[in-house]
Amino acid sequence: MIAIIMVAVGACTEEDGPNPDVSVITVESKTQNAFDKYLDEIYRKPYNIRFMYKMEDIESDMDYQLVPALYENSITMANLVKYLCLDAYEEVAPDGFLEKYFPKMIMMVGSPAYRNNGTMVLGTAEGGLKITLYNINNLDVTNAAALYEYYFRTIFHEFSHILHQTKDYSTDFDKISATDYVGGSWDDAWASGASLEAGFISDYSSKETDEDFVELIAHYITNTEESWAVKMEAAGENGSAIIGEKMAIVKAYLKQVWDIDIDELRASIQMRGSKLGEQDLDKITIE
Amino acid sequence: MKNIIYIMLLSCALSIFTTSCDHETEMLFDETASQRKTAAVEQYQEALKSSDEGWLFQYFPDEEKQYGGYSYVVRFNENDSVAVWYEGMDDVTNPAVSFYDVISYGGPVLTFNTYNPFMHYFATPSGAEYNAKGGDYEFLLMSSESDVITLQGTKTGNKMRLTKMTEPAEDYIAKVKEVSAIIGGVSFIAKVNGEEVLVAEMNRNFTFEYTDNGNDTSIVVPYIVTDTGISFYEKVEIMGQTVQDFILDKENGQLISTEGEVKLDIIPSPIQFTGTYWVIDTETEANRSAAFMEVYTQVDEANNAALPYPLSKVIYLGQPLADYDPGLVMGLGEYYIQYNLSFTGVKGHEDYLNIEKIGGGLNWEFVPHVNPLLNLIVENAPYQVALDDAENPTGYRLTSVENPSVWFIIQ
Repeated sequence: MIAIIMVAVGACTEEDGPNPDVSVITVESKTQNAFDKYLDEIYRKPYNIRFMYKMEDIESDMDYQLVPALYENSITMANLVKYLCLDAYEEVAPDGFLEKYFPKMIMMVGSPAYRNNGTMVLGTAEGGLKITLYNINNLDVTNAAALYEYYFRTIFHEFSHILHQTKDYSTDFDKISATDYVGGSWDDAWASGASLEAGFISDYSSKETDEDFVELIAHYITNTEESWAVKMEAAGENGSAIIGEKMAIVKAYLKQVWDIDIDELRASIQMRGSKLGEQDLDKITIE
Repeated sequence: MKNIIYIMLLSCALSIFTTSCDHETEMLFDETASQRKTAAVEQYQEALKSSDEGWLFQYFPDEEKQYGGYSYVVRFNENDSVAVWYEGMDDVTNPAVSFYDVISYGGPVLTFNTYNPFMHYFATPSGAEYNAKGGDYEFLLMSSESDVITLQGTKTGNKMRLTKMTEPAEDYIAKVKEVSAIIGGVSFIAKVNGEEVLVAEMNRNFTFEYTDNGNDTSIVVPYIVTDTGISFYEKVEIMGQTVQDFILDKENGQLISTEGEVKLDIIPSPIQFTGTYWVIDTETEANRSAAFMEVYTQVDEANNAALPYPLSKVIYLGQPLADYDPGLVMGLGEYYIQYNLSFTGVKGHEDYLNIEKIGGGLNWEFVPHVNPLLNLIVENAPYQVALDDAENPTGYRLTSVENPSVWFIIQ
């Protein structure tokens, strides 16, 4: 009897098996334009990063009314992110660091993501995998402060989240402002300048410890030594002491866990920022 | 007993295998699902690229179609780029070029996936319009015949059409702009079966109001401007007449339905306010009546009490701000306030100008104290229009027909 069953099974596998000649997985074989090829060279091959400049609305955040990015501005942004961010980390971080930890997708969105109250979202990150940058159609490369505020602080902020989610920082950090975090009401909890005096580098820092931690990194490296000193002056004795205490933990964490000297990183970013005008940000060919 | 159980189990097993080996089961399709999806995408890719002159795209933004329809021409090229012409463009010889794709998303979807200032115009949000004007830029491709592709906006669900062009895009768009200029900023009188019907026009929507068998009926119909006239979004029945397309008869100033007995008489405005603007200078006494100035002064004082931004001494009527519709515009410190108005003619009175409210525009919600001035201008319409000075005209004097103590000069 068992033999009969075996025959029956055998017969079925032979006749009903999948046809190896037909694949159900379709690999899109789109023709690549010059920009696609350039992105392959500067993002995909070295870092396995997908730089997404063609937006599919049905794949984007449906909470917001969004439009795609201008092609020309995406080219500028691709060069900017490479120059101001990846190359800066490349200079100071150990080999293989970016390949392993930097988010694998960077997505361009043309419009800001407006909330119904008129405020806007500057950028979002999904689980350390994808960073979305909004408002690309209003990109102005002559305004370094706006570049930092609208785009790069977001990238540094989200990337830093990945780092602490991979290896956490010391719980000593949580204790410094433990009773001062305000949670979801961060955007209306402070009068102008009050969060700084309370030891938070931004209003958003006061949301919770993780945000505080990554905001400190993002702000520290997007400020020059001088502009940081001005901020500490404005923070007053109390505020600057608290921020100083937190920064000591941030610095030690980046050095010990990731072998990154945050002052070297800042110097690299600032040096690059100061030479932005000399860069050809419209190029789509490798020199 | 055990043997019986084994035999029963075995026969069950055998029957299952026998069934599974039933080679009689027919495949519903010859190809796999993914092969069919790819084929559908390729079929539309080819169809879209098959028109040398591109496709007329009759585009209706917004779920409620509250802006009516707008004409585009889209020409799909081999390198994934698309050239877009739009009736709102200034230079018809200069299309905006961007990228497009046909993707598979529960069916083939046409997506304009890099920014195109024309194609994304109705979809681009702002601080004031965080949902933009409800425009689509992704469309489910529904069906394709040789000359017409039917598609549906993924956000609005609005059904739209791509029609194969038989003439250069710039020629078609230029004709649409010409028709649009003739029927823009005018009012209409509808005649159905020769009987007069009340009709109002606003933002490319007609509202027909009539009594049908004793019932008050109101029908709102979005329309688009074509190269020869206008076309309703869909067929509509008005007093028993089913109509959709209208041809412009320039000579007689009428839009005449191609089917059914409906005519729309065009009542032009004596002065144009679309694409241009006029100024009321309140500081010059000769330019406004005492009654007008009284209200201006009252509003100005209320503004000084309410806001730290001074109200401008001049009032603009028309379209001084490029991105906003015609209306009443004033300066407020370094800002502007604006209220959308319609400026139309009056049947039987060639020199009359009617002014009606459409709705609050730029920053109007912050200045409720300016409403008395707006109301003065609107509630005293219609105005009789005359040159301000017969020998050396600098503008027009608008005098309220009902209340001649209200007048002002626009220059």
